[in-house]
Amino acid sequence: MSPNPAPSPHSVKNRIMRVVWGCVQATLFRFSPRPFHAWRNLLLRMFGADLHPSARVYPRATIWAPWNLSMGARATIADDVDCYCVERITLGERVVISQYSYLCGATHDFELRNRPLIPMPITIGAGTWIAADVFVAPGVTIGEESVVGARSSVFTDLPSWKVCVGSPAKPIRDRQMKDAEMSEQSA
Amino acid sequence: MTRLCAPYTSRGRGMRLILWRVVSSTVFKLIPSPAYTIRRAVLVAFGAQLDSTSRIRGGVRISEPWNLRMGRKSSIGEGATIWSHAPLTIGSRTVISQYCFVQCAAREVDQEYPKPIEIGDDVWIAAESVIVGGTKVPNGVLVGARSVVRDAIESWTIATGHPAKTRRERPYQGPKS
Repeated sequence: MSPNPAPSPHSVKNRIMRVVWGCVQATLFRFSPRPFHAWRNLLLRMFGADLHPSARVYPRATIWAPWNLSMGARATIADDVDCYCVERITLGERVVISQYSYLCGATHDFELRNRPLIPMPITIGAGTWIAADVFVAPGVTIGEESVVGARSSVFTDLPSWKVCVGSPAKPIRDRQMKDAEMSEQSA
Repeated sequence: MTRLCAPYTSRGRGMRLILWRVVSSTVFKLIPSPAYTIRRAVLVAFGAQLDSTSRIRGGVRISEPWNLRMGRKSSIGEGATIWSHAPLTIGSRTVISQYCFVQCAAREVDQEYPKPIEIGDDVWIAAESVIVGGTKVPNGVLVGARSVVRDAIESWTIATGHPAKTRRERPYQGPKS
């Protein structure tokens, strides 16, 4: 006999809420027309998400637990993103998570026999763009105004104002804006 | 991905393959994720050899279930893709995490060949990793998230990266209790 896995760290309330949210997500959320961002924003906020009213989540994105999701103004989660927010996932304003990316908010302690779950928060700073199919490991903090290239795997913290690519993702150069800074109103 | 396996899946496998394609793209998809018993029963009906304690979660795609063998308390996570064109053997207490890609085939000069994969006991293949055809993952290996397993790995080690390389020992945690 192998050692039994650790007991679930999730409370009964958490599990019931996830079932209810799962039903809402599979129906009202998933089959809402794409431009209905305000509707999906409302659904997420009804389940405790901390969203700016202008935050956008596309219909095919998967949110594990909306009450652990924070999104700033105009932050966007694209289709087919899996947001495994066992711990808090914080997206600053104007953050874009492109399609197929995976924000993985928990790992397991593989050096204990029963491999208990270790949830860890993910924080992504304002203006950062996570390109398509990026893996973000648990506990990672990404700075502001950075870019993470497509298909990268982020296992360590990344600085601000850098272009980062690869597996593991590393900064390869500064991100320099070619146009003049716009005022907040026109940005 | 579908195109990749076309040369040998469409040939000479007859009604069973056609039937599985129909079932897997319709009824099988609709089985709720926690309904392990129902999913297992469907796969066993198509010739998979699954231990009654093994678990396959929802959204898992399996190309040819008759090539799949799973031992005690092993599991396959949500959204994994199992291209089992050749025999795929999974040991006991092994976990294949969400979105992994196990491809029992390899490409050699414009032609794809089915190649079996063996995964041992107490292995953890972490999320979004790829296992290439023809590899053997020995007992107790931990493959880090997003790795690509292509070459031989020693047992009870931790391997990460693309291609996955051994980084350090993993303390032995075999069945004790």
